[in-house]
Amino acid sequence: MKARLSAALIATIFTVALALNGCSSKSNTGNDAASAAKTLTIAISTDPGTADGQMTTEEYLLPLNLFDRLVEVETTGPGQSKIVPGLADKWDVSADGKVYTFSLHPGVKFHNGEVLTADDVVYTFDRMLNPKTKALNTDFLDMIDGAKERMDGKADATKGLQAIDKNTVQITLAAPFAPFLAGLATPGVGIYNKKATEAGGDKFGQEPVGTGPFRLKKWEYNAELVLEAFPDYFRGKARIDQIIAKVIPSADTQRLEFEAGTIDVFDLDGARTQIPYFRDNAKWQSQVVSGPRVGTYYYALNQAMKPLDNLKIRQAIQYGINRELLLEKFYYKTGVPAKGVLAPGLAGYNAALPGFTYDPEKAKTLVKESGVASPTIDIWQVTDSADTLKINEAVQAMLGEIGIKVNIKQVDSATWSASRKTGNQIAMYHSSWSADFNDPDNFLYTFFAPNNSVARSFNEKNAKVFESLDKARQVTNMAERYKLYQDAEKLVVYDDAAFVPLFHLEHLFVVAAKVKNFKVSWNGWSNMSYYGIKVE
Amino acid sequence: MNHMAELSEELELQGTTFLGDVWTAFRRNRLAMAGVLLVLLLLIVAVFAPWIAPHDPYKVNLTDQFLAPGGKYWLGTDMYGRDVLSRIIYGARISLVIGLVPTLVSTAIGTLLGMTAGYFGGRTDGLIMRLADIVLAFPSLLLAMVVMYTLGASLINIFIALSIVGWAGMARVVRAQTLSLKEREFVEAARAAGVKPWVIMRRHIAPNCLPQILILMTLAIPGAIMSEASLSFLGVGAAPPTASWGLMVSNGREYLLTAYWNSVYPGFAILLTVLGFNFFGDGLRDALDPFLKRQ
Amino acid sequence: MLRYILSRIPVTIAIIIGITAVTFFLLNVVPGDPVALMMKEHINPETIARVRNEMHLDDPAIVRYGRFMWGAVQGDLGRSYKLNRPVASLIIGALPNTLKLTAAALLVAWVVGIVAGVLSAVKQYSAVDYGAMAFALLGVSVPIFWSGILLQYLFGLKLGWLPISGMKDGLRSLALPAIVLGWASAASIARLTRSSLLEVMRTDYVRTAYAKGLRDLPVIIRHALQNSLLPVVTVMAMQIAGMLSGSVITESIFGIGGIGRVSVGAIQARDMPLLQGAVIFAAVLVVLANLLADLAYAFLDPRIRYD
Repeated sequence: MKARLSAALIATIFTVALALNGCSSKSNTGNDAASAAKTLTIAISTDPGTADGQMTTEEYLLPLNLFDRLVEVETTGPGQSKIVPGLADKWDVSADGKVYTFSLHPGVKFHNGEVLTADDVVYTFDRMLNPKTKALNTDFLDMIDGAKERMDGKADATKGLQAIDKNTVQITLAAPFAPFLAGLATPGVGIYNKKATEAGGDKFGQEPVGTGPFRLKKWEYNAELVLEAFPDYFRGKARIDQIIAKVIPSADTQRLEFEAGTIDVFDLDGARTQIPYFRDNAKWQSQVVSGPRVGTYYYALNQAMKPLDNLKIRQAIQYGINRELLLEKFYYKTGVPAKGVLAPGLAGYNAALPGFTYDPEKAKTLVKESGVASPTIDIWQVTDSADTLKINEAVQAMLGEIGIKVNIKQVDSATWSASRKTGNQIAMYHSSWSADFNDPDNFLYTFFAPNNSVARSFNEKNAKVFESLDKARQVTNMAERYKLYQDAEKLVVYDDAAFVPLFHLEHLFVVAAKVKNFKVSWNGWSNMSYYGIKVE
Repeated sequence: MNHMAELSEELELQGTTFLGDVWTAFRRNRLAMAGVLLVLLLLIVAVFAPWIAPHDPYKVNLTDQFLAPGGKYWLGTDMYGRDVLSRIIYGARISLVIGLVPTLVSTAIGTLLGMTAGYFGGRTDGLIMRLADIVLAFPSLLLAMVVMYTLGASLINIFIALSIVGWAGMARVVRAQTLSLKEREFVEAARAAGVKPWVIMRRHIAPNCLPQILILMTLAIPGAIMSEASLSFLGVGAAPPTASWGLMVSNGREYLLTAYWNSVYPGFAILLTVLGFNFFGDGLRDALDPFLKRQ
Repeated sequence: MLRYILSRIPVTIAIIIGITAVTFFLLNVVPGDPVALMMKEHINPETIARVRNEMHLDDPAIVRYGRFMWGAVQGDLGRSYKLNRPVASLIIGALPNTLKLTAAALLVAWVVGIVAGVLSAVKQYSAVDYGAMAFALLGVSVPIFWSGILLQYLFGLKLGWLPISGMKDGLRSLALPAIVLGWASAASIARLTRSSLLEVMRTDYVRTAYAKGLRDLPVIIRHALQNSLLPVVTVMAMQIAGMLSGSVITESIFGIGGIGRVSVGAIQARDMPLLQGAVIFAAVLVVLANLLADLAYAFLDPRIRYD
């Protein structure tokens, strides 16, 4: 019995050795066959889990490539964008800004062969608002007339959604809301096929049916996803045959895979310290693709907590942080210092703001003038965010020099989010925000509307800010709206020093030579549509 | 196994000879001696860290970011311009504490529960050992991860997590020892004389479990150090800027190809320490083994 | 034999229930709001309150535990917050990769451990002894995430012999992760082999065999190794628990979609139902391996009869 055990052991070793050899020759031929098809191989650090954009607020690879929206955002230049027709060829907005009428492109086919109708659009939006769906992206649609009743379970349909005829959809809002159209271009509001979605039920997120340029071919959870070009795509078949997205959690491993040539794109956001290597390396420097991120890195200061209730202390922080040095040492100058809340490229961005120069002497004086004896601030952050920690530790040293003692308090993300919500526990924190849609409302209202200002631990109390933000939502003249947002921005950053702008960063990728036409998407997100890409 | 008692009687009679014999056997094993040296080195570095370290391990100085080894900084600097050597030296303290505290706590709990279970038997035994079975069923890192998830990342919580994970193995071994010791004449005699159970455990059972406990402890210490490194890698370990070796290796991994000194040197520190304790523990077991089994 | 198997079943069930209770209550005393977490930065307080309510998160823990257990016995472990999929199907999907990795790593651990153990026992207190044991201990002395990336760099990128990550190349893909994970578990097997071998070699019958003039090697193989392998088989369950611990990190480094990867993903996303399911599943796997090892022991060793 026992002799057999050791014999079996030896036999197994031989089998393994033989199998290893056998596999090596097999895999070589496999690679040859694959290279005939035009394939883009990318790496993603987590499995997106669902293709259903209504059910996620961050995993947009699948929603962007498998689905289309009524309108789309087109990147017109670095950080520049405009709203262009998507599934809707054209649209009208009523004079009072409440009724939107969309004409659908005729004959658009879903991956299952069905033809897109107005009913599909109504179904999709109603599904988002249906409480049974438990959707997470209701924010983009909850201004529709009857949305509140639908979400509260008091209605079986959404009053403001109407299919006028086969190709016409009419959406009525409860009140005018200027950014509505921009919100419809966000990845979470792709249009679904009623029949396939209902049939899919709980599994729709795993077996999605859209109208998009790619369709899901294979999904091995936590291993890889294969998307293939949809031949009947209404704008014409994509120029690549398939996308393979490998799930590789470790950025180090992704980088090795990229250098070995097994993936075609390496996202430097996950490994910023590798920027100098790729940028200064003769082989790679021409392959680095960069684009602005329509987003802002910042510190939030909580005015409800000591010593940040003191304006001079808050102002001292504005002047006491060396933004240029942080940009140089941690981001290798791939960005610019920020002067306000809004980012370049965003509608309503105010380039005329003066900004803050690093002035430790002025900051020291401000701390003295504040009358606060030995001010101490806890900066909170979540434990497993190395990038945040880098900035916090450096800022800890900088503020120490101007006479403000900083403790970095690390908590797990559950505690962090629960504490921030209360508005009275977190004194100061570092974070970033990037645009969901191209409108200043997405930044300023999200941060400084009365409820949000508490929930994000700013506790800005300036009535003039609230007034501007509220008014800006009702006004339909864009120039007038942007002015209102810019007024609010000046108040929170320069008068009240509630918001410490740090920088706007570029988003860098390294791309294999065979990949052409790779563009960073308008807002600089990692997830993008790969429809325009070519592979040689 | 059941010769522990005789061993102990022998130990009481001729303690010096026993220790002398163990030492002789231990000294023959060069690996074990190397282990002792490594552990001693760790102790010295840890105790005298403030005098040995050339720089402040926590001082951020961005202009000195990522300097290569040599010159002012023997082992280079990290991304904040902090001295890697000084951080490794201070890290010795943290690693020692991370190795020792959970091991001592889990040994205390494990010994107490193991003796109780073995001595009283019956339901007490059943309850304690089923609890141990439950703990042992969890892959230890997963259980520690769950505990850290619940408590949040900090040094104290690492102690708690690793103690919760560690006691069960100790309890099993001590229980088995207790079961056999319970039948020995000197224990039965004490019991017949009306000595209280706790006193018997303290006077007669615990000292006789000591060699086994010592072996397990020397091997648990490196385990705890490695667990801390793993937890740090998963982002639920010691909270930065703590100069823990695990955290240094885990954070420095990103620069392995561009600034290798950030992870390679702390990695060596872990390697030598863990090897040291393992050599020491294995040597101790080897040296004690013949005595434990002697007729 | 059958009676022995039957006698083990109630205990096993009790332990499994204990495992679920420990995991559930540990994870449910977590402060904070899973709904806020799953929506990250882009949140709206009203949406949070609504979804919380729909997920019954405001019920008392004991009620939720009851609901969880009722679902669990029907094979329903709840739905992942982040991935919005049934936890059970995610775990079942990850299982084959974990089993493959564990089996391959176990093989590496046995080969390295037994070879090192035999060499060091036969040549006790020699350079061979020290070298073999040091080699076996090296694996447990280096953090897996560190040795992993070094091997990836060397064999994957520089030499190009083996794939850097993934599971697409069959056994070739398994080679690096199995070496990293298996080597880390080899030390305890080497120790066990060594000490039981030393013990056997001190017994009379081996000494007799020596006295009869047999050469070293056959003696060891025929007598000593056979007897010393038995304890190695019985610690297999403990080994599997250790492997599952190690696979948490190995799978992340090598991009393998197994149970360990599922758990880490769940930790990072604070996805409580998924973490709970994965941890419980891993623990139950160990309990079953334990049961199997006990049965194998009873079957292999004719001296042991459990009745």
